[in-house]
Amino acid sequence: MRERSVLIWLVLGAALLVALNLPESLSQRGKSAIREFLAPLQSLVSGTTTRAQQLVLFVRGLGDLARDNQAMSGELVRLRSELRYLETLEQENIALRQQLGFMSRPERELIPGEVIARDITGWWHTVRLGQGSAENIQTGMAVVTPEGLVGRTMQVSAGTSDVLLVSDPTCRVSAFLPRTGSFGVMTGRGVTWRGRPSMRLEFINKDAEIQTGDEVLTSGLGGVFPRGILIGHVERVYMDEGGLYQLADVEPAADLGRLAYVFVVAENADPVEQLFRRRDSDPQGGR
Amino acid sequence: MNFTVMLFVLACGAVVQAVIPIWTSAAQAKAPVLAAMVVYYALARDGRTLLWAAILAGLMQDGLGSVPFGFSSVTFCLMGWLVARFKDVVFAHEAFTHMLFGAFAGFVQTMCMYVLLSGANLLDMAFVVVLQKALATALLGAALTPLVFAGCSVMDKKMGLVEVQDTSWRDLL
Repeated sequence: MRERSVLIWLVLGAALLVALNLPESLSQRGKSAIREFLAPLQSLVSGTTTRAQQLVLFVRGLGDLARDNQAMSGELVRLRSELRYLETLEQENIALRQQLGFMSRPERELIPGEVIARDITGWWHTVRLGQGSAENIQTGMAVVTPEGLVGRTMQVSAGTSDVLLVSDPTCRVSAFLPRTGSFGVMTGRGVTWRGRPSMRLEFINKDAEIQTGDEVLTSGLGGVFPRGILIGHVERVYMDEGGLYQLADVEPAADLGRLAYVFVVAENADPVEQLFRRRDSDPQGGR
Repeated sequence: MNFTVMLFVLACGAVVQAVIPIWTSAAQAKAPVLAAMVVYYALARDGRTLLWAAILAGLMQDGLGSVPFGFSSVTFCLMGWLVARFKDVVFAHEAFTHMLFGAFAGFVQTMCMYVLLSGANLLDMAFVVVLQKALATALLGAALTPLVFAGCSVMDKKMGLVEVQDTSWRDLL
């Protein structure tokens, strides 16, 4: 009996050694299979909890409906007038770009995604969407909410995709500050002891006059994140230890702790190099 | 039948663990539902069932997360083996025992995972933060394990798989 038990443990040890040394492609295939197997159950549980939360919010907000309605009507009027103004600006912009021979920016499709789970271990800052390659989501696409940048897709299976949040220490985004025109690299810093996601903008020119509250946008360099997406706002500015660069703590614009619905930006950014390449091959400019 | 029930229970546990929010102010600690299930199999079932449970729970945790395949299985096997060693010297069906083992499982699993992930250069986290995470996971494990134990034993009894004694809730009150 004892010999049999030892044999079982030996077989187990060997199996685990094999599992630990699986090639990356095989490992990913295994993970995808488990995700696909559990995705329906996960969507069901996640959908039920979301609906329950919405019901609670609805019941709690019943008294404020009239006031909210009035406020939203005002907001609608303001946004409509803003939209009309922006349409004229866009036409003017298109005309000027054509005159200067610039390329028009490619249209990007936004694929809606529903957050069905967060990282199961809590070691990384990730969320899982209930949409995957079947909805044309691919690895390395930017993920946004109306408030701002959320992260990028990491691992994609047919029905699910994992999103690495911008607050994760392994996530880096090329960013720029439109007020000063300076560039930097945004790095996730995890969560503060109060549980707030935090990020830091590094390698900012030491002479740039950065202020608290400055907007930080994606620069579009690097090819993953489209240009001009709001990442967050500067909270604190300080010099690095060597005195060569400035650093800035940034508060994310998107509420990374309460994500329910997001959008995946279907077309990758238009890297500057690609634009130049296309312009070189197309003497007429524009497309 | 035994295997199917175990697979179903672990799948439910994995989904619940994935859906439960992270304790953000405690270094992103997560409620260790799957670890609590392994504790159940270690205390209430035989060695072979524990082995399967530890491997399957690990594969599900790694499959649903970003941890490389096999890491969680190693930690669950180690943790399950440690718990099973003390199975005969404790009151295995007392809720207080489940709380203690739940806390132990949460702590051991987090620390083992830290060692494995750091060894593979996949994690860059200060040890103080990891300790905070391990302690918070232990706390969550202590709170969760008696509930998981009760749920799993009810399931196994309904399926006629095992004769499990009821958890003694009176001892806690």
